[in-house]
Amino acid sequence: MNMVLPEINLYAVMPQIFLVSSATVVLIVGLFERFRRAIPYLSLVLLAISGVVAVNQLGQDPIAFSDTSPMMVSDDFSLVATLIFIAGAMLTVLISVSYAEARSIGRGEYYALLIYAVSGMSMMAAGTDLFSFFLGLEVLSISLYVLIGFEQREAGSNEGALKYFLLGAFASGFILYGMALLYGASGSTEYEVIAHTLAGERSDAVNLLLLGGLGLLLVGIGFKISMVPFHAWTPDVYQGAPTPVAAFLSTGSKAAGFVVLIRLLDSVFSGLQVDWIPLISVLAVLTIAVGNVVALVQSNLKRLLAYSSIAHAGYMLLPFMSNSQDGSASIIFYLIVYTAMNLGAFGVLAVLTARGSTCATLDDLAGLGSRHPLLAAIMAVVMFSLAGIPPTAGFMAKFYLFSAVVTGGYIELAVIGLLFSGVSLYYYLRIVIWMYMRPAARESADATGRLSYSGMTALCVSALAILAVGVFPSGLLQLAQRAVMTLP
Amino acid sequence: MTDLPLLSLIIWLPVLGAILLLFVKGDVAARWVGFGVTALVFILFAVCFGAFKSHIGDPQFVERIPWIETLGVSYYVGADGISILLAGITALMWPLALLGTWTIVTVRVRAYQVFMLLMQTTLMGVFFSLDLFQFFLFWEGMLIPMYFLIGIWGYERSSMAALKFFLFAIFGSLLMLAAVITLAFLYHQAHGVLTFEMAALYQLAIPPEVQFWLALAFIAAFAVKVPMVPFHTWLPDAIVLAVVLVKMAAYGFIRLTLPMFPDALAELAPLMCGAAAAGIVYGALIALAQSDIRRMIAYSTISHAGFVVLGVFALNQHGIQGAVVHIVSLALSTGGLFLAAMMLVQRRNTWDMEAYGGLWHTIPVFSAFLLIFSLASVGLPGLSNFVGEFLILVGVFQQHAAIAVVAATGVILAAVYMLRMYRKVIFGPLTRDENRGIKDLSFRETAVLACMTLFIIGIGVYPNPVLRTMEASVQKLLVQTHRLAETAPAGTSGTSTEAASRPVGLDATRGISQDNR
Repeated sequence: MNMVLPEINLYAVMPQIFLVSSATVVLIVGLFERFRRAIPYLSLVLLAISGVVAVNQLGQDPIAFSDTSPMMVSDDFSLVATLIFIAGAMLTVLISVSYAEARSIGRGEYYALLIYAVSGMSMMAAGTDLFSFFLGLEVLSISLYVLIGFEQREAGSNEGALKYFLLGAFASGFILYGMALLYGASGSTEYEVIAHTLAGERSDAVNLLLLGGLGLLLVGIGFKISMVPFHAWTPDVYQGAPTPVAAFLSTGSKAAGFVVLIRLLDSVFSGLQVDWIPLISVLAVLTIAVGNVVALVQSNLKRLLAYSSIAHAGYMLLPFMSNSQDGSASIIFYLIVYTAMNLGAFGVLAVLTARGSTCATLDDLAGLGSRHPLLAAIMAVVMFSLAGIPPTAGFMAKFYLFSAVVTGGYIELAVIGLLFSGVSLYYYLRIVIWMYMRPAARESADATGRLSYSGMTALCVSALAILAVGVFPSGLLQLAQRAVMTLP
Repeated sequence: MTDLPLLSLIIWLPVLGAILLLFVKGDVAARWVGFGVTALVFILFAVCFGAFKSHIGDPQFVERIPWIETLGVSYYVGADGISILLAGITALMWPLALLGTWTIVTVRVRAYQVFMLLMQTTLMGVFFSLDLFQFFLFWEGMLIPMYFLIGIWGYERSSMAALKFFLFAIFGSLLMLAAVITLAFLYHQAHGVLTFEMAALYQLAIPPEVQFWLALAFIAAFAVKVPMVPFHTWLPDAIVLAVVLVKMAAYGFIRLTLPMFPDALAELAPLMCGAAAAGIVYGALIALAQSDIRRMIAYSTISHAGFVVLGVFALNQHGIQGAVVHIVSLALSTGGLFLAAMMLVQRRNTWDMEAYGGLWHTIPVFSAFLLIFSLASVGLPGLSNFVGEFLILVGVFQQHAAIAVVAATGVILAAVYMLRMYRKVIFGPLTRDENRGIKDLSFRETAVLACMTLFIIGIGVYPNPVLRTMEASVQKLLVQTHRLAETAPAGTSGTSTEAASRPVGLDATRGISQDNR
């Protein structure tokens, strides 16, 4: 008896192949002590090459991994998403260098795991089958469990890793259970077949299975994007994790969650809209409210940024309601901008506390404007951008996002979101006040320390990108719109 | 000469200056760069003003470049009679303000110049924008330099004042943002094109009940910045910028609220007039109770801002022209008053009126200038404020006589609190030894104040050039408002149908809600 292997098209998974091999190369080179210093730069180069591969495939017709069972597809959507992940990872590598060096966690595995995580996210974005999605998710999650706990000597880091692991395992369980229900309803794990089942006539039982499956998937993905009520881990884990890892966690892994959500909600489950729209709108408003309100009283900066990232996840949930191409494009655009902003914010903390404690408080920022003018200026740009004040990219992103919400006919939701983003100004501006209008409370140990060049490069890149996109958003807007064009 | 992109130069030159400042070392050099750039902007503006044709009501010097095509946004600037006057007073006041605070601002001088320049850019951008999106961008962007200016160079508790101001401002602006998006969405629904061009949005027929909410959102954004009672509580802490904000917010009312929401205005205008009159009296009464010079000027600004809003919502030629003149003269008189007070405080380091007295004997030149500014503030005929207040009261009287009567008491109260301040600070015996050694104004300070005085007297004695500059534009504005009322669905209110029966033309300029009492 002959096994017939399905025709496969490796070209469709080229970026993922490059990413996985890059990670493996980094892992192997990391074994040799004498190359230790070169590893971050090797990772950068390899990530850049994977990026070039992805750019190279942009603008073509979607290519499926295999015709009989697609599993993964290389379309503009997955490629743009992969590029966001790669850019985020490259910035993370840059801000990690001095931080990891000072805390002697800069081993090869650190960077290798980072790239493995990116490959997982990329698989999630490219997946057109629940299995490939799950595979990507697990590659991402397992890498993150280790990365969060990388500072073995810090209790917080261990605590964070354990929390994320326990809850993450539960989330994976929910997703698997949801997948099982969906398989039961449609007889397949392929997105297309599930969508087809939804489009056709269906009995009540099947409907219940589909709804249940979607609900369980939403729980799992909601955990990844820290949607209320599955957000509780966020502040603890961000606080405990090494700061660059927290930066990566708040941008990359959240972006991956949203990318999957766009695929699922906007194309696969659009048939169930009536059911999930009320649910998601309530959860989105709750997420925005909880994130913004709790952030008001935080003085630990990593916790503050954690709640702020919860709030931003809430904003990004809003356009799902409009269920239009503009809605999805606005989420992609927001993700790009959000990645630059949050990496900038966490990056400043990472550069600042490379040697000090893991958790910076507001008082650590006091007088930063005169101690490190450039660093303070970058932080100010990032804060104004997170708050959505022009001429920063944050404003453009918010504008595009909320106009998609209004166009979808949800003016009330847009007004609620906008008003809460007004609340957010209070805590973002407090950071600016502390930097420029408060004298340094105490001379911290690293006050006079030199800032790492690589870290500053990454931060300058993000800040300049934020300003440039804030003034000339056209190119990125078009990219975001083109990305969602290929979605069914 | 006219083929130069004059308006863009005026808008963006300060940004270039700010970038240049990053490479300048030393306080003195920074001051010169700041002053030089603003002076250059003023010269450019003078060229622009010289080429301005006042008989045209449409925007002139128009520049239009596609910018964010996917959102239907273009970079679109132009100046009409109203915006050129407001931009003019900005162009004039900026070099004077920098010159006036030459030695007053001594900390972080370079950053101060940078933020002042950035603020000038955003102001000019607001005045010259013909695209609503771009308008909003400048409007919001202004918050950043303002925030730093209040927070770093403000007075006591300044960082909290800055935060308070920012939060007040942002809630108004966010409501406006929602309204802006909704407007573009409505236009897209009606015409299938996405655009933020103001002239196009003026023509949009919006159902009256929607208009009402949109108008409220816009009014919220502007009322906070005017500031109108009860949204004024940030002002006494952040007085530095009050004059600038009055200018901006009133411009917002004139440019956006009036022509876009005629039906809603029929309901809202009398309310706004009432609130403005209340603000006039309230501000004046509180000013009367202050012994701190800065707070007194702040509350007097609230009172004067009430006049401006009153004029705008009189919705007729006199009212609006009066409002614009009043904005210009407020910048001169209140700006002058505040600058003079800062010069005094720099010498004696206290804002308390009681600490002074008898200054006439020691610093006569300063006292003379303070007298002129105080009298201008009071509204003495022959000085600029009189023109504005008079026109506003005439305009309002045609619409709501009772409100005009209430508002007029504000003028009397102004005389009381201003002269009370002047008496305490300047007249009386010289009782305190600290006041004996005060130096009179330097040449630089004299020049700055003299320049302002010149304009105050000039406009007061011969206001025609100012009035003529904006006449055509104000007429066009009112005709636009009127025609919109005509095309709106009938039966919304008595006003719009009656207005529709009136012939379009000069008569229309007398106002649309004349009989809405």
